[in-house]
Amino acid sequence: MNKPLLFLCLAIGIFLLQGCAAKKNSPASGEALPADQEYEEMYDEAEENGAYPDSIEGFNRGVFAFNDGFVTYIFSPINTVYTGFFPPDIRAGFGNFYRNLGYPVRLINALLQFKFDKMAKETASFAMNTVFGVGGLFNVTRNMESLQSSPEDFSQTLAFYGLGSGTYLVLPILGPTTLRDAVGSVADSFAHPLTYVTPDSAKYALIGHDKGNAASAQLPTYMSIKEESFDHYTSMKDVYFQYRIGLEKE
Amino acid sequence: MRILFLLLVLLLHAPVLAQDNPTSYIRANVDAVVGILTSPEYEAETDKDAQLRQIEAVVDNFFDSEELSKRSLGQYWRLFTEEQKQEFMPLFLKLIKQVYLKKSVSYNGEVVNYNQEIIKSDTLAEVHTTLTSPTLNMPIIYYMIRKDVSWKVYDVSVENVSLVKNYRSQFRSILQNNSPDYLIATLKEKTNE
Repeated sequence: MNKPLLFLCLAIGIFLLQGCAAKKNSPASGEALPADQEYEEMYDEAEENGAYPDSIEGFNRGVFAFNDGFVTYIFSPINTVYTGFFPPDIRAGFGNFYRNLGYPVRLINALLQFKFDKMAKETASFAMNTVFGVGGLFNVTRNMESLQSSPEDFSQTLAFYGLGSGTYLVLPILGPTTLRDAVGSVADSFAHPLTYVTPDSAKYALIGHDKGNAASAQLPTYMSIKEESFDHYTSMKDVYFQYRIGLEKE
Repeated sequence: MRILFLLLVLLLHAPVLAQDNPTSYIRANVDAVVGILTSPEYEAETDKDAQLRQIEAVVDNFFDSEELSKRSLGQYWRLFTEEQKQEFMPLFLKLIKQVYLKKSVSYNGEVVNYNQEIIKSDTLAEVHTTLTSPTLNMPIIYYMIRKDVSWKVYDVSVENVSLVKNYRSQFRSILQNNSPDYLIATLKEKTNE
């Protein structure tokens, strides 16, 4: 007796969901704009295929609003004290140090993608920055054109083997990521030296300082995106995807 | 006499020739802006406004406003009436200029390296540059188009993030649920007009 009703509900549910999905996927004026090959090529429409995947936009927007409040009312004031205490050169030094420390992550992922030239570049940079840059505090290879290489991580390795990015995801405090990037960072943490620091209190303090110092360097960019955008959430999502796709291509 | 004449002709043509090459066009504009930014003339706090006006005058001709607007609106460009287009273009250019001005004021001795020039066709080119300082290494690509004599910029990408694509995402999300007039009104608000 209940079974047909259940099926009916299910059928209606699926029908409604399809309606939603169809509505979201088609551009607002699909039929009003006939496919114009020349135009498409000229304006790069074809490569885009509409928006980036964001199947939990409602949730993401909520977390995004929370994070924005966190940045404005908690992180920014702390950052003002932090940047007042440490001059830019010192903060850049911290950044260099942590970046240099992440060498195993970049090396392993370059290997997994058979990017041997990157392995060589990373290794040479690591050696020089560690030895001549006082343990990595100074980035002595910054201006050596032949040693520049974009950083590899496990998410890019997964992309290399054909895995899609998965949905966009905004995590509390940690911020924008995708399903694949989130999985990638967890995997990468096993290759990161900071994971093996003991005791735990020191480990979390160092990881926290690494993330906080990096976020401090990103704060001006975040603020300018917020100011210049019409739709802060969409703009950040777009910046995130464009940046990540750029890294994948290199 | 003949040599003098030849020299004169060459000299007269020099600016046009310089504009004919995408990299020299970017270089000339960047140098002009850096020149204004570092000029001792504007050191006093009271001269900062005049300095901004000067930079604005340079930036005015830097971008191709129609191309900027078209590409940022993408498929929605054709939903705009001629009137709406005419209203949208100068406003959007103004916004881009504001963004550019704000960025240029934070100039702190960075050096621009010109790495590569890619000529895609008679009318399309890319100029790849890096903005460097002791703590910075930022790749910037200028996308350029030539409609008449001079090359103009229609998109800028910083660290692989294209300005036009970013605005296109936003405009898409706005225009999916709103009218072009709503977007124009928002743009007016943003540019204080």
